[in-house]
Amino acid sequence: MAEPVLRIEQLSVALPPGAERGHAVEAVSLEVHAGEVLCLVGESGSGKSVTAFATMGLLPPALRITAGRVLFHGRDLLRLPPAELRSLRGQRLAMIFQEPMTALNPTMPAGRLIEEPLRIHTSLGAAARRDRVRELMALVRLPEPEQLSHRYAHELSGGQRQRVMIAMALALEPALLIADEPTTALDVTTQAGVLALIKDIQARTGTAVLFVTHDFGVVAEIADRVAVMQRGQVVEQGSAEAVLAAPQHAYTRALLAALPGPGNRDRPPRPAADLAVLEVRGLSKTYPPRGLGLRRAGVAAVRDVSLSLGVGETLAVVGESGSGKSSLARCIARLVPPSGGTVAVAGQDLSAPDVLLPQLVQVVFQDPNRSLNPRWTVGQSMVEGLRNLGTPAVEARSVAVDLLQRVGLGAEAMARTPHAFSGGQRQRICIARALTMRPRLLIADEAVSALDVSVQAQVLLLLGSMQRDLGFSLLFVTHDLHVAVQVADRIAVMHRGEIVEQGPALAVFRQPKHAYTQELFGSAPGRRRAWWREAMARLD
Amino acid sequence: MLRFAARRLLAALPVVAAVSVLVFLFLRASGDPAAELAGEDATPERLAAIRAALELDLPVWQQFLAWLGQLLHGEFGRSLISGDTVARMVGERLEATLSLALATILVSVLLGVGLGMLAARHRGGWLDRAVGLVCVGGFSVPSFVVGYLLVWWFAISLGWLPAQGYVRIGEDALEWSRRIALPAVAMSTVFLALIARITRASLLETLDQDYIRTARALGATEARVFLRVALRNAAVPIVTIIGVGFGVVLTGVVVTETVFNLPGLGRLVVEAVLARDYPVIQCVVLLFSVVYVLLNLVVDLAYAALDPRIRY
Amino acid sequence: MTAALALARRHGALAVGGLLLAGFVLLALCGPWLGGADAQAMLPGQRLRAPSALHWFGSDRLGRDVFARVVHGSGASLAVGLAVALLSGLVGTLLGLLAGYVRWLDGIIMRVMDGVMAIPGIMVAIALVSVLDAGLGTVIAAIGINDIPRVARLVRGALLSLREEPYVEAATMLGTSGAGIVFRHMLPGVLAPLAVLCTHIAASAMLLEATLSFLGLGLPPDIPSWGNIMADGRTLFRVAPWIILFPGLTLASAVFAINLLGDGLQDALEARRG
Repeated sequence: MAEPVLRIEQLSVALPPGAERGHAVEAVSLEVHAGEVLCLVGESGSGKSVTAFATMGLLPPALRITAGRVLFHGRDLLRLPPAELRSLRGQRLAMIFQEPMTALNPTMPAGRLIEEPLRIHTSLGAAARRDRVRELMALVRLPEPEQLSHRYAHELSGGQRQRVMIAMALALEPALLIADEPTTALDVTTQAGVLALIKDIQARTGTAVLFVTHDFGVVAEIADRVAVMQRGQVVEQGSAEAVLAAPQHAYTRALLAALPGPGNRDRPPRPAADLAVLEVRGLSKTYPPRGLGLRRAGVAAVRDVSLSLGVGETLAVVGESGSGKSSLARCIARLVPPSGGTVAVAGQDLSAPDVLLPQLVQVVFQDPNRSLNPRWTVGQSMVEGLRNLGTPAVEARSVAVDLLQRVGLGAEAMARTPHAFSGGQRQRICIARALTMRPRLLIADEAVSALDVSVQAQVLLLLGSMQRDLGFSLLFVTHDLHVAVQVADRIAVMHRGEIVEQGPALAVFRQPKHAYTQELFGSAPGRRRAWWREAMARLD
Repeated sequence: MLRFAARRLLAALPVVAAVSVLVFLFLRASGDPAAELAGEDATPERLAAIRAALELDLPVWQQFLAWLGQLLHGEFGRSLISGDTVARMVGERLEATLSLALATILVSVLLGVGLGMLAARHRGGWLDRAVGLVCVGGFSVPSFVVGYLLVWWFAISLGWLPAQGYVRIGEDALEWSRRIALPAVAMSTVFLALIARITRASLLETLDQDYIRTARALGATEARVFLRVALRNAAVPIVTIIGVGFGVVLTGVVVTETVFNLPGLGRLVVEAVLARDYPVIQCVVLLFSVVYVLLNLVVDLAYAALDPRIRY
Repeated sequence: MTAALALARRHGALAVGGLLLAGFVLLALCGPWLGGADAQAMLPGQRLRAPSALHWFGSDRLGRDVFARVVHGSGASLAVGLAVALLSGLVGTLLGLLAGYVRWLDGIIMRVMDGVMAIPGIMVAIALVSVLDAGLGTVIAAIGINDIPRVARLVRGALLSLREEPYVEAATMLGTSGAGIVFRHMLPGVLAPLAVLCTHIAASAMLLEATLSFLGLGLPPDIPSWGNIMADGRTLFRVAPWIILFPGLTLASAVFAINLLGDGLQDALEARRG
């Protein structure tokens, strides 16, 4: 076999003293060959990104490499003089990042950004550089290069930004491309395009790619080989098909089993109940235009949406960013006033002045780190709603403790502040807090999107069992259709403020009817690979 | 860009209006101008006559409009003491104040940005700490004390520079620069500290951004990362603080002109307050305020030019 | 105690600033009993003496001991700083709360604040002092007005950004009233930056008071604040520079202490947050 482009040997990176474990990365060995994509997959904190940054020599100062070699074409990057490493970076080694909005210099237009590596590493004249920028923009399929090259990062779409980033990385035809979660911040349809682009360029140029991701679907879509990381160590390595279709290590198997999908349902979908808890009629929301401009019309986030939800039923609202799904949820919860239409819960119109909203609707938000007051103890947060209702302190406390125990936390959690808990635990607390009010309707607004896949699976199970015990109806807002089909009885798909398709969960998932739903579902990464479809079907 | 400028100018108008209302109310609150003019032993009839002549018997809003109309016609009133028109008094004093303010801004911006860059470049090192201390010191020593220290050292002990007084630039440019040097340095201390501090903070924040990592990943040298990427992106807060700092400069003008006996607007207003010469006070306060608003408008325009994300 | 020591070691500026300021406060409180020369005692034989073992800071044209006057005047200078910080802190917080919470008041209050901010601080003070009678209260009000918009902006800005926080929205969903949300959820989050701002306001207020008094536009001359002592030395600077320089440096070190305290506080809060 030919010499690999990149060989990492026994790499260890120490965490600063006081961290929960000694090493971010421990004795990791990897090889990436020309013309192949190696996916480094793992949950947050597994050390996958640290490995990538160590290879580029871009580790933050707090992280120290304690052992190992990083051989690039046989030269140890860790022992290269800084000037030589710098001349390799951007030229032979290139990197693209997770969040293209923040990774692109906001004060340089796109064309100038793509030109940057040419200015740094070559002595090309202005005209030659311009031609090369034009070529690169065509390569990454950016339309209208003439106009786009004058736009700044904030004026580009998410997909365009990541394409600019890729063009910068590929400007000097590097031998190795390191991609750190490059599609995580993108919508699923945009992600499909960017993944196809990376795969296509890689096939044409023979660049070796080290691709870091947490998403097994993305792995199935793009990887030739996979290395699975857990707590700083590579636990399993092999061809994508071998690892994903027939995992050997228990951790890999657990991760794959935790992937959301119809197979992980804890109960069969129920037929629609007659008695509606939530009735939404002709709801619309138009945000007023910003600034003082008179001519600009408002933005219509939700247009004429009607839906209903029965007792104990779960409806998933699925859509990409900007589809209006969150605005819909916020209008129903009256966190923002709707511009038109009516919302009734348990027969009560929510716009009525005397309605007792807290006992009708509660919300669990996306970001568990910001959903609890950081200065309050969990106990204070847990009893806040009951105390507002005038429940005596002792009684409120006993309800709070009971619910905390039901979500898997002990009474001792009451005295601690949110800092003491992990993201998953905080989200459990938020669910428990919402349920102290015994609401008829619980809205989960992307409530599991910020969580790792194994934690996500546990929180979804918890939501299901609480719903069985307490009998509330659940409106589950998500961008992830696999999550939707796992939790929901019915699915409603939103696009540009409207519900384009609505029906029983499994029917919508298996035979989408609307063109947009088909495109959305067809963009799910990994769908092109037969062995992945089979593996997922087996899980189903 | 032109539309943006027009919008900002429009947005500044209510502020100028608010300022003129405040200044006008101040004039009303300052007592009865008729009584001031008539003297202590005036008869009620004479007071009423003066009121009518000055249109003080009209409703307040009409008086305000009349006063505004006068302002717009360039009539700023007359000094109660000397009887000179305020416009002429201000005109005579403009040069010294402008010289001082411009010299101060030049010194402060150059040195302040330089020191801030130095501190950010050596983050956490002794240079950084030294600049930090100099900045806190700059905020803490009143500029007139700095002025006296400079006079005591350079004028009295060493005898290198004149202690006080002013020479017009048209008369003798060299002497002008010798006269302006000490007051400009004295006034610069606070402004310089302000700019150095913001420059450092803004650079450090910028250096933590993801796009700095991108620049390093592209193989940019540290000098390029620092100067071409970080400094460029750190510019907006720096320019903003320069705008805010004009207020500091105006404060400095008032006291420094007194210390160095410079015939400028600051001295004029202090003398006017001591003599209760209200038309002069009113005019200078209004002038300083309008200049301040306009300077901040220029700053707004500058940072719209610097940061493509700011658009209205 | 050990915790305080550890804190002090980590936050040097906080400790040094705090200790220095404590020293000045002690001086102001105990000054009259510290003994030494009487601040008002005029010794005709001791006019305009240079600093010596007898007169540490020299003596003025009436033969009064400058050091004794500086000690005696420290109370007035510190009081102005404290009073301005409290005044602008309270009024600014109130206005900021109103602007941040009552939507229709927001525009009105913030335009007025813009207007006040558009007049350079010293001009507001000069205008007010020239109209009202010179006195401690007038000076405090005249200086405080300048700083109210800074506080109001800070509080309003914090309120507006906190309003978007999910934990605030969650509290709304739990039926917590508007006042409960502002006072129990939002205000505690603003207190720390507010404290930092108020120390800086106190420092700049002391400087502005000294400047105004020095110009003869501040406290009545019979209050021996540091600014007034320096004003006495204005015409005599060539013969007796100590009358200005020593009080000036004393003022500078007091303000330095407060600024150091404020910076240290800010660093400590940032460290805690990060």
